[in-house]
Amino acid sequence: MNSEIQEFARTLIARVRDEAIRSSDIAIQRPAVDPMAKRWQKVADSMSSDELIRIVIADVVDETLFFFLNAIDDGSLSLVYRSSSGATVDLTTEGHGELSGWYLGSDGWRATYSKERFVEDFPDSAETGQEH
Amino acid sequence: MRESNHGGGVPAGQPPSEAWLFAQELLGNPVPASAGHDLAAELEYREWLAQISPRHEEALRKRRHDEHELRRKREHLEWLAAVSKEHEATLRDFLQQEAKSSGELQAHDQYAEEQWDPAKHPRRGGPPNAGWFAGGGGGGGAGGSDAAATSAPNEASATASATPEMLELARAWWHTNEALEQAKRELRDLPESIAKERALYDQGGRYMYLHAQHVADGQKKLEAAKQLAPELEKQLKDLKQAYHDSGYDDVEYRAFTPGETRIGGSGIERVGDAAVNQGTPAGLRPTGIEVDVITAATVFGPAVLRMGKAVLSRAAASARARLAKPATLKPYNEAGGHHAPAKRAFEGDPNYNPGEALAVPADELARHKVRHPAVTGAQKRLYLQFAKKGERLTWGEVERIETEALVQAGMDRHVARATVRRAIDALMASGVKGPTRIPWGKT
Repeated sequence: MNSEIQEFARTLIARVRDEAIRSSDIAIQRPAVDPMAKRWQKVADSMSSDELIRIVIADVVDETLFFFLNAIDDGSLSLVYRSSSGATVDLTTEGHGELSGWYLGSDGWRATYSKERFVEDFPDSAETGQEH
Repeated sequence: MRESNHGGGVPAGQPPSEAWLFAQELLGNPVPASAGHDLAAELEYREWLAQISPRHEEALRKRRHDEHELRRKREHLEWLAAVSKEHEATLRDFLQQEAKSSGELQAHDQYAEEQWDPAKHPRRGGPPNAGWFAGGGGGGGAGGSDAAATSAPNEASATASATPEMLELARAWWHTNEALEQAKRELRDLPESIAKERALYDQGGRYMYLHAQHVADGQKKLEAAKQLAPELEKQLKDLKQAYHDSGYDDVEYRAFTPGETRIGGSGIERVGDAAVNQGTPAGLRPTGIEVDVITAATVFGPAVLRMGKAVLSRAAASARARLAKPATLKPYNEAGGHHAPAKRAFEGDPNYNPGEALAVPADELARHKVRHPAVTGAQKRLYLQFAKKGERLTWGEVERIETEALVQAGMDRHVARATVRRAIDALMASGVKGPTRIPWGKT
């Protein structure tokens, strides 16, 4: 494995995996002030552990993808994407540091393209915290 | 035809002589109530009468007491009118009655019904005290708002360190104290009054129904006073504590009364006295109207409690804001984390460097129990909501949105505000002129 790939691996783990875990840990601190933490606490108090795990799985995947995109946004992971047509795009440059934001929200990538469950904590409408 | 001076008459068109008045007083005859329309002369005349007659001395003392009471009541009304439409109407009636009953006085011109000028009693209309009177430069200047307090001419002598918050606390304390005294008076006097009315009722007669009504009213007021007194007492204590906790105890504040007596000093009692009783241009005069518009604690006590609660709440918020320290900020190059404000907002500004811009490091976000995805999610939604307005993004809007985003993600509002302000200050200091575009917006 060449050193460039090693560097990529280190960055990926530090900036994506580790940050996602640290950030998710915030959601189990009490008292809960974060929207996701409040949801988890509510579910833990009122539903089965299976229900809680079901919600946590989706949230942690979203957390991880957020930090992956955030690492691209700030240039830590400088990635170039080659499209199906063969065109390439520098995600950091062309993304203008907004990819992680574009992932979230009612009109975000997750809401637009995902076929699996997710919870939008900051929707445009009033349906905060509802599972989609 | 000449009018005889015998039998107590006064020569027509001439003021009574001191000897004649003295003689009338000794004989127990009535003396003219007024020496004329010159107010200064009338006052002088009454003071002279008071020197020669215990009866007039008592009358003068009563008049002065009434003047003080009227002024106090007016101050109360002006203060209460700031929060209650009902009291605003009462104040208006009060001033109009006053003007009508003393038509010869200047007050008539000022407060006649057709000349009620809202501009003389303006409301601020905005937070934190929407509806409070601001300084109108007219007769109601003393009972006003923070703004009035800091702009009234007779407060030029106020020390620089007296803040509007301090005056607001002191003013609330003063009014609470007045309401408490009123409630205590009612607790003391009403039982006897009720007993008298009950005795009259027991005697029977055609006015029995009136006495029954008075007994019922008195009992109602007594019950209300019993309930109010401890609440007012607690509020008084809380206001004093808040004043102390805010570090105002040694701050001096002075002002002048209408008679140009200097009042005030340090401590909530003296400052409250100065804030409330500083001069009104025309002062107040007894009207002879025997309508006591705000005598009962049952009427103004609850309003005083509501106002006191609001003042205490603001004082607490202000104290928290003063104590709030921003989250630790570091250049993004050093520790990464969350850009507040969003870097996209300054893209294209030659003085903006996203690496050198201050950011909240990840461990600092964690210390505040804030997740980066939550802040970004809130940030994006708020910027997109702003974009729909079609307005240009300003520093002010950036501060509002970024603060709100941190708050929605769970950060304490005061800490969030201080954090965003510090980050914006740093951007401005580095020469960034302002936002160039709305993050996540199309422009």
